[in-house]
Amino acid sequence: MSDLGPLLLSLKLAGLTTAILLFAATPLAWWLAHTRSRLKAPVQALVALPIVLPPTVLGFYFLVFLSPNSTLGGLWVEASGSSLTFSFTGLVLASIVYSLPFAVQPLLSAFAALGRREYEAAQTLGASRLDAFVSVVLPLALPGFLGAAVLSFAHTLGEFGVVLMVGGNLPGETRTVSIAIYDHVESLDYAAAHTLSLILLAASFTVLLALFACQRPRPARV
Amino acid sequence: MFAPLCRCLLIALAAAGASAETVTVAVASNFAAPARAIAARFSAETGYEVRIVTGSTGKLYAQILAGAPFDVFLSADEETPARLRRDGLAVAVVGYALGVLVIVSADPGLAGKSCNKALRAAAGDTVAIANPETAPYGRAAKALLGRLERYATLRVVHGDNVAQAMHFVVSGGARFGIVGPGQLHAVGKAWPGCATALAGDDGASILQAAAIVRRAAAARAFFDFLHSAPARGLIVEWGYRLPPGDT
Repeated sequence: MSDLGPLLLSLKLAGLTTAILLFAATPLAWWLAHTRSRLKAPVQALVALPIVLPPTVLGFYFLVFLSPNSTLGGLWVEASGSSLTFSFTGLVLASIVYSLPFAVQPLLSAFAALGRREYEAAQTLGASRLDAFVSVVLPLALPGFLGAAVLSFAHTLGEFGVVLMVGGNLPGETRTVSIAIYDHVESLDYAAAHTLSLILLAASFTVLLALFACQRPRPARV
Repeated sequence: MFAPLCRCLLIALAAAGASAETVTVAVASNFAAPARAIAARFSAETGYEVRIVTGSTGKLYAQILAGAPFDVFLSADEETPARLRRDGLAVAVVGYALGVLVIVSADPGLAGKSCNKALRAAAGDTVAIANPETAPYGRAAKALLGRLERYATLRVVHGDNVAQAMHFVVSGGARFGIVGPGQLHAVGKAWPGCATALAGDDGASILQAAAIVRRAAAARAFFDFLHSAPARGLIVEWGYRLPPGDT
């Protein structure tokens, strides 16, 4: 099946983006949950921006900033010898920004609901800050992490506009499932478009089902 | 949940790593289907793998400017490859096919009739053409509609490229479409309506040129293959003519 490539590519992109986001979004969400800084509102707005911004706007800016003619893109070309635009690496970078709010929001809610009490109690008992976070906050906020992982994975899987703008539809490099569907429709291969669409539909439903099944109300902790 | 995820990642990485020497060919949408046929023949004869990327000529041009890793560019016109050469982004440029505008309609009421006559008589219908800003076939279609003075009576919608214009016709959104020869064959024999290729003297003849974007042996091999007997056979078979002076 020739569409295995785009499917695997999308899974690889979504998996990698989710893994990176879980690491990057955790400190950010923790800071947002507890800071009293005046920067909180602007940072929160910035993080949430990809939810409301049209993907074409995001894609256009990525194209401009990642292009070999830009500072960042130029530095990357010098360092790695290849262009960030129309590359898998470029897609990962774009996806991280694109899916950032979907990782931050669930974590932020989980951290805010948890408060700082357990974390500080662990510290008074002699745990280091990292230890207190890993052994106390992490297990307690697990549903938040699960939500963050599932949502950023699913959101990246369905990414279209941004990939279309910066990806360039290269088989094996940037032709993700949603781009392959677009391609099949254009080349009038409706059967292949149906197959891939159905797979995405089933995957999205399964992912959401898993999420909501895991988020059943838990007994209150005291 | 991470174990299956990791396994998927590993499989994907392994799949991405196993690639023979490939030629990435950017193809204007009108020529996508013939280019795939030519690429299949080329791969069988040379062992090179071919990756085909399709889009409107203007979009592919913009992508090449932005550093897209294309080896060969099959344009829908001759100006764009020439411009790339002036920009220093392409080397050899040569015509590979002569295309014509094709008027299509999926309306079963027009089966066996001339789409050309039906379009000239139509009023209030939707006509799908490629975006004239980015696609040479869209530009030619727009010029044709202008010459026929049909703009006042028809609703003209723009697809991203000819393939999308054709999709608008196939899906029933537009009664007429003005597309390329490559779209005509893509729908096969079971076409319910009409399809009429315009004669070249309608001013609808479009010279399409190819360019080498990246100097590589594989790129040169594919570029040269466009002029081989098997490739020429396929070009003609798909409803294109060979460029003048290239018979």
